[in-house]
Amino acid sequence: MPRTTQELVKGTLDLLILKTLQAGPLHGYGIARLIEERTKQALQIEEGSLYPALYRMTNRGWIEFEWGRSVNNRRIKSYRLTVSGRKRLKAEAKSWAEFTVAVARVLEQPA
Amino acid sequence: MSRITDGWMRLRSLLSRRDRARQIDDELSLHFEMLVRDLKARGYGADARKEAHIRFGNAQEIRKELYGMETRRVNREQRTAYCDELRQDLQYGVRQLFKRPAFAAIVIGTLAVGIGANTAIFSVLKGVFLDPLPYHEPDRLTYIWHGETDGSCCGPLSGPDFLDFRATTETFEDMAVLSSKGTNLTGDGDPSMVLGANVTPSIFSLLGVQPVRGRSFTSEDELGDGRVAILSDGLWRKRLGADPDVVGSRIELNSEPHTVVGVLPPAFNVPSPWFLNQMHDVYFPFAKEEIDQGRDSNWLLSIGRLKPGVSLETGDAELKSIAKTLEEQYPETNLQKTAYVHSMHERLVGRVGTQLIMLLSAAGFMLLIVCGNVASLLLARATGRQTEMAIRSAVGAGRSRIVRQLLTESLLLSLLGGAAGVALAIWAMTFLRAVIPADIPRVTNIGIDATVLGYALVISVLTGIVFGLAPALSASRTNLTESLKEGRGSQQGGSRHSLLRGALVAGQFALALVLANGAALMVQSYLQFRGQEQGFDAENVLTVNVSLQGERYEDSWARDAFLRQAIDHIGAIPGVIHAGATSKLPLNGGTNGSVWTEDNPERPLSGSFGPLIEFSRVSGDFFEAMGIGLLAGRFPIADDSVSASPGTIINQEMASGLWPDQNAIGKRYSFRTEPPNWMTVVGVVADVRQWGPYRRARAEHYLPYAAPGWAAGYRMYLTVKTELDPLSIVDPVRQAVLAVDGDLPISQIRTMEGVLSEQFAGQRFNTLLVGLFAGIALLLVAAGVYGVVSFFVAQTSHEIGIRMALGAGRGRVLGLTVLRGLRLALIGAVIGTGGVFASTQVIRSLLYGASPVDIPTIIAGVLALVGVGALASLIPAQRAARVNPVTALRSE
Repeated sequence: MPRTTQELVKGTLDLLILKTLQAGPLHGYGIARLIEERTKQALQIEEGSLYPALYRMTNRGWIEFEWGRSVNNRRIKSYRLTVSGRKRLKAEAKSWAEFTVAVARVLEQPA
Repeated sequence: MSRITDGWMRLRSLLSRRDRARQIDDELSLHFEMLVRDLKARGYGADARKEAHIRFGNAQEIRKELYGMETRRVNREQRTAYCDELRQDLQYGVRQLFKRPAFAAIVIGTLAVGIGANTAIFSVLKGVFLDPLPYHEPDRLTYIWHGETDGSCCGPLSGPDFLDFRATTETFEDMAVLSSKGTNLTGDGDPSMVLGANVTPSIFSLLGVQPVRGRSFTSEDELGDGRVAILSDGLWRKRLGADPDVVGSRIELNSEPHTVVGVLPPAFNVPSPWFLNQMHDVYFPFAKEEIDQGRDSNWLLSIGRLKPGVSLETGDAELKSIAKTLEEQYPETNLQKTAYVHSMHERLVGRVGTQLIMLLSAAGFMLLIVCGNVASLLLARATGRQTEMAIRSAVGAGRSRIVRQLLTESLLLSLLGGAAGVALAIWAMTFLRAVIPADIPRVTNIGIDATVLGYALVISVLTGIVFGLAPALSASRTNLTESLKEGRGSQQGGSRHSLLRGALVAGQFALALVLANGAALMVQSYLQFRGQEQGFDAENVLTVNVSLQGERYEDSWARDAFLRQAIDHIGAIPGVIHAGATSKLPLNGGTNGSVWTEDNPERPLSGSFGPLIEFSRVSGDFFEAMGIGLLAGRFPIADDSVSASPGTIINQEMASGLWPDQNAIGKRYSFRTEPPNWMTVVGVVADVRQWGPYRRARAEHYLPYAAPGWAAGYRMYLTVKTELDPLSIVDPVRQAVLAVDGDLPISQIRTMEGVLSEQFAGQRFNTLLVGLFAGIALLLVAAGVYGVVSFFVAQTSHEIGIRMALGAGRGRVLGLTVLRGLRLALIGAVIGTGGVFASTQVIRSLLYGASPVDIPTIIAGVLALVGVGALASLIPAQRAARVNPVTALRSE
């Protein structure tokens, strides 16, 4: 049973989006699909969480967007990391790693 | 993605509401379509769309949420962008100021004068007029006057009328009366005189105050012996050292002990329009029988508080109808008698407020001229900055961006000018307080407070916009290619600027003409009234006031005895030429009653019949001391008073009014009493302007103090004519009075020159200020013309050079240049003359009856302006005439 984004620790979605955009510019749908693929469908990104997160991160200046055109001439809004977004990604990734290690240590203790 | 249309940058543009919604829709629907496509690929087939809907959730809600977030983001970014620009503009503006410190100093200084004058006058207007009176719900407070049905108004009420009004009214919550009187503080220490008042008990609660110590008066006090008093805070502190146990103690007033029952809050005063800047320091309760008598004697100042929601008109109408009933009930005393209800605020400060608003308008005119000058300076500078503007717009600054930048610079200047102006106003206030006339009430309430500062801020900003807008718009219209092509020092935009500057200067001329005309009229009016015959000789005359109150002076012979002795003592002082006494000083108003003459067979029934005669009591050599000339007959002698029909002095106006074409000497007349109280005319004197310099003399009679009759005179002015400085004998006069009565203080020590001068204080104040404003205005205009003509000369030196090379004489060049200044002056004068006629109604209130349109004054004003225009053009014109053709042509 895939977990839904609501259950994700707040902030984790931001981290996932930042990481996803590290490879290069991408539109909202692409971000969602990529995260789902990389988690092997373990996480499903819902639109109701994805877009507010994207807008919030734009507002904070971590990502920026531009409007372009697709091959069949549709308007496409794609996002990419800003300098401060890259910094954020580094910091978040580090603290995430520390967090999981810490949690793992607790779980490794014999009961 | 085939084509990149925008660069990678944060979207900053002003997204419209619709754009924002559309972008969100585009993004979401793209997402949806991609989802459907993927689902189809995964084999959902026809159900793909349905499945996508399920997955997508509530699209409407997401859309709303995103829209909110996007709006907040765009707003914030706009704000940031705006602040960034403002900061840039400010930094740039400050740099500009430092780059040209002289320019900045001139502009800020000019603005400081304009804004400072406006701020100072506004602070006076606010303190005196705009602030509500310091009482509970002051809008409901009124004065109630006695008047006549023919429209004449505003005398005090009689006691019985007041009691009837108060008992019958349904529109007034309460009414009270007071009667002010000089009160001698005797007992410990030097005797001194303060203003006191008898009041009805409810007067304090009517005004909304209670004593902070002790109690208010009660109806029981009305039945007592009147030996109780409530003190002002000021008297309690000054005279009694703020004694905390004062309530219940006794103090001596008018040589009689009184029990202090209360002390009023600080700064509280029962306001009387007859004692505008004087505080009542002691209040006594009226005895009931004091008020409840004499329906034909009007002497009480009445204050009323309207019920909530009742208009002045309703209250007025009600009292008029009560007065009508009284008229029918008491025809022998109340014939044609009616009541008037006036707003207390209007009565106390209305006239002064109107004059102050006029002064503020004059200051406003001056500020407009200041704006014109500063705008002109900015235009001149804008010409020099054309290249800068061109470069700015070349690198992408839009027109509105340039206007905003220039306006920011203007506002920076005007705010600095405003700050300097406030400093100037604070400094000017010390000067203003000193020259402020005594008839402006509430002077202590004047000050620079938050409201005044707010006003200064508002006019600073408005000023900045007014003087900055035209130059900014003009500069932003720079033609890019032209400016850059012609390079620095181009004359292209200059001609447009100088046209605009010319228009500004012409406008300034017009404003200055209106101001100067007003000032000239005011000066003329002032000189006219100051120079007119007042009816007495003010030179070397001292006057002091004594208040003959208390048990000792209850009988009129005791007061008469005191006056005789005091006048004898004063007459013996070395340097004294004449000494006398009067119950009322010239120019200071008076009391009157109607008379009938023995020749007139029909005896009038009512007070409203028969001519009104001013009356006063005199003693000693009053006429000689005051220099009032005897025209016929003789001055009264002691025997006149003891005869059955006492001898009196009347003035020319009364003699010719009552006995036209006859000799008044020996004629008999009486005030309306039953039986008649005949008096015989023994002398006729010159008219004195008893009601002030702005009114003509009224019929008046002077009754020797010893004679029986009206106006018993408790408050007397001793008048002393001296050889030298009258103020040098103040101390001997005080000693002479104390020698007769050791408890009697003298007060209101003034020279008659001072009394005369006081009368003109208001007019002098207004004239001084408007004159000052007009003077500054002319200077500013001169500077404006000078600037424009200088600029013109600098711009056309090339052309002048050619003309001279072609043989034009220096005289011709000089003439042509001066003509340029003159043309502006003339255009301004024509517009200004229109302004003079348009402003006649406005200026009337400052002229004390002088005509607001005076053709010679206007002509003089126009000539003065033309003169200023010519003079100011002359200096640059001479520079033009000295142009060396060779250098001028080479410099191009």
